[in-house]
Amino acid sequence: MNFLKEKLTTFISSLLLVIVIAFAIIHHSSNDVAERFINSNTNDEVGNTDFSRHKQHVEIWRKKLGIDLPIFYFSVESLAEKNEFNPSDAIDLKYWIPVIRFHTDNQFHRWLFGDDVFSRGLVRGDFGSSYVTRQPVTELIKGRIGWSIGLTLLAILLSFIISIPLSFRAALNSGSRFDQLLKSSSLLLISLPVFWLGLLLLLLFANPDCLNWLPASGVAPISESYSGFLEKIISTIPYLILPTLCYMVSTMSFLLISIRDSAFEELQTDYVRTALAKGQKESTVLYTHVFRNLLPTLLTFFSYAFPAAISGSVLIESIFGIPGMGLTIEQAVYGKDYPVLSAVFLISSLITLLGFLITDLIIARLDPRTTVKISA
Amino acid sequence: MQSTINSRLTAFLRNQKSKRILWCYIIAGIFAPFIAGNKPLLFINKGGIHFPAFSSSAYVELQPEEKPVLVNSVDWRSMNATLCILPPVCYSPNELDPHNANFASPFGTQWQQLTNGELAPLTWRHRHWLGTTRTGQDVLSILIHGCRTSLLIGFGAVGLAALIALLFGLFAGYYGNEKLHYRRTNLLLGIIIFTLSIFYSIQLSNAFQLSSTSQWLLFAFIISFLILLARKMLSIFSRSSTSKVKLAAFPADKLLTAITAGFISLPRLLILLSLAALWETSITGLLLIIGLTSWAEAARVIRTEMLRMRSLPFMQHAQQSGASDIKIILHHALPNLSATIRVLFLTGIATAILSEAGLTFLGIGLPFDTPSWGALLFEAKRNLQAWWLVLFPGLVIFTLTRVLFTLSKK
Repeated sequence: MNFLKEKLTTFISSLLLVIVIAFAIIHHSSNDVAERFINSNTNDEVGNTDFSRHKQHVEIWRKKLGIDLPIFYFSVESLAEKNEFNPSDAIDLKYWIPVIRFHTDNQFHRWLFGDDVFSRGLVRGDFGSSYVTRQPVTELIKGRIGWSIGLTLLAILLSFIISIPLSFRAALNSGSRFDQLLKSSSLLLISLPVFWLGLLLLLLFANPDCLNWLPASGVAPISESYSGFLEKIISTIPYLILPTLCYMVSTMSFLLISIRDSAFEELQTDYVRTALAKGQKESTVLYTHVFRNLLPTLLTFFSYAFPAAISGSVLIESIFGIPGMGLTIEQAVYGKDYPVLSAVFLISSLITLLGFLITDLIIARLDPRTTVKISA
Repeated sequence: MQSTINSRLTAFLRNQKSKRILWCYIIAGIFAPFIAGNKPLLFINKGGIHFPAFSSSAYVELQPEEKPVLVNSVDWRSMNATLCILPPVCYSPNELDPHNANFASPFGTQWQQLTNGELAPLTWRHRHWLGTTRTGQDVLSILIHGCRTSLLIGFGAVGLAALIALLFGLFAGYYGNEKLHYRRTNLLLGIIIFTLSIFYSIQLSNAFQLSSTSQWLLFAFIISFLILLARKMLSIFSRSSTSKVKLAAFPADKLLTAITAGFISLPRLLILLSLAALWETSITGLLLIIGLTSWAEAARVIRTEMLRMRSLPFMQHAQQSGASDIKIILHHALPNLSATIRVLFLTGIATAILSEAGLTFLGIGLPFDTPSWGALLFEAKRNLQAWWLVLFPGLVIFTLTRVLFTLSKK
């Protein structure tokens, strides 16, 4: 029970930070929010925009969006309510007495729960409308999450499948040339910047002057339409090889060394030594004793690798032009499209934090020893 | 025995090679304007001896009778001089070379304009050895000046992160949950007075029309100090400490660990992107953002080490001999943590440099007139025919990161 409480407090404190940052992204300056919604397309023949009614537009939108409301549920003010301050107010005694006022109707409440007029609130799934394209954010990112998460999961699974046998073999023959090769190549891979690797691979494989084996960007051929589901998958594969390779390199650099070190520790334990002394085959020992006992550790590595891959997806998707969440974030930052940025940031962070929590719970179920704390 | 000596020798030499490469980077960063620039190091003409590269004034008088000349914008190569020694790479990073613009390759012919207006091939001395960008900036000089930017951001961000991580880790590890005892009334009073002092400092700064954050903080500091002083003086009149006083423990460990845990599981690149999108970024801005998001893992490691060290004999002897807490932390514990701190420092610098290059590569980090390695890769992304914009900056980043990771292994 204490274990659950600890993990929940971590989850909730990170969630609070994430919500505060997501709220601050949209509402960090009150001018931006109102002025971005104004559709000032009143032009005369020459094309000059008509700014004479700009102030009225701003006022209308401020009332609609509720910008003049206070920001949070409570605010600390002085007893003398004044919006603008004159230095002569300081003599008034009421100025020096602090008072906490509570407001139930404020911007934070509206952002979370929504007034039913303009927005339905975050808890019902309304992330607002994009400043650039004026469409709801949920429509913008609906199709794109699938690409990001699918590609990331595929890459991480492949890197686990490749790195587990290699690391186990290196741990078995520790100190041999294979082991040293693994260590030095892991150092090389971890210091390789992922964006440089992507550009180099593009230069090598997608260059018409060099080998022209793989296409450069996008996820599907534009012109042709494939009827079958299988044909669609087969036609997408050449586009996905290079991005998956980039994700895999950045994950494997961390995995190779970590799995090798954990497997090496497991091989020094008594039960493995007994099994080997009994005459068990090495492969059986590896995959029944060592792998089973390493499963919680492997799940921990998975829970680190997945958010790192989501963060790295911004770089890789911007190089290869994959329509995923990373590309959405990049376009949102360029166009200063704060609702989209806040929504994507919120969703990615939520996936990260939920991943950590679920992994901890699964590990607690697999290995109950982690729930017992030995007090120092 | 033989293999142990051999492996230790190779490890030591590998460290030595890495240290030499790191010093090359640091020297390139410090002396960048004297290695790559278009102001000559030595300029002798009939008017006398001048050192334009070292001068801090904007004007220099070349001839005693003529008017002074603007150091930055005059074309030193076309001046008549007895002796003019330019730096080894004779282009500065912001200098646009219109005759070699639009991506001159390092292997092709490069052009210059002679004094009579016609184009001729460039001599070996003034050649762009690693090619140019779209506007004609020399890649080699951007690489050298970019050392300075990256190392500044790396050291600055990690310095800030190390300060915060040390603060959190050392205090959380040393004090634990039970150690800080105060009188219950004093603890409650302290918390209330601290929050009140923030309010009064804001009101005071409004009253005196002060608007910057640092002046608010100064006021909060002064007011809390004064109030604590008043409380100390008042406590003389309260009950003496020999009678029964209720003590409460301030749970420093729980509080600091909760704050650290909140920051650890945040996705770093996404937060950096969001923060960089809100405020326009400069070197100091990027430094602050990277430093403020990367201290959490280091704080957790330092706290674990401190917890392990707290039960060691020398620490307990120091406590029993009556050393003050600060002295134990700074004088006894911190030097023993130096190995861990060195590892965290070096890996932190590598991660900070990679983050800065990644952000500038996306177009979000530094403004494009600051020379940076990520800016070259950003240009390369759009124009993949310029392979020299991909290979050389990436090689530089890769070598620096590999050197830092090699030096950080135990």
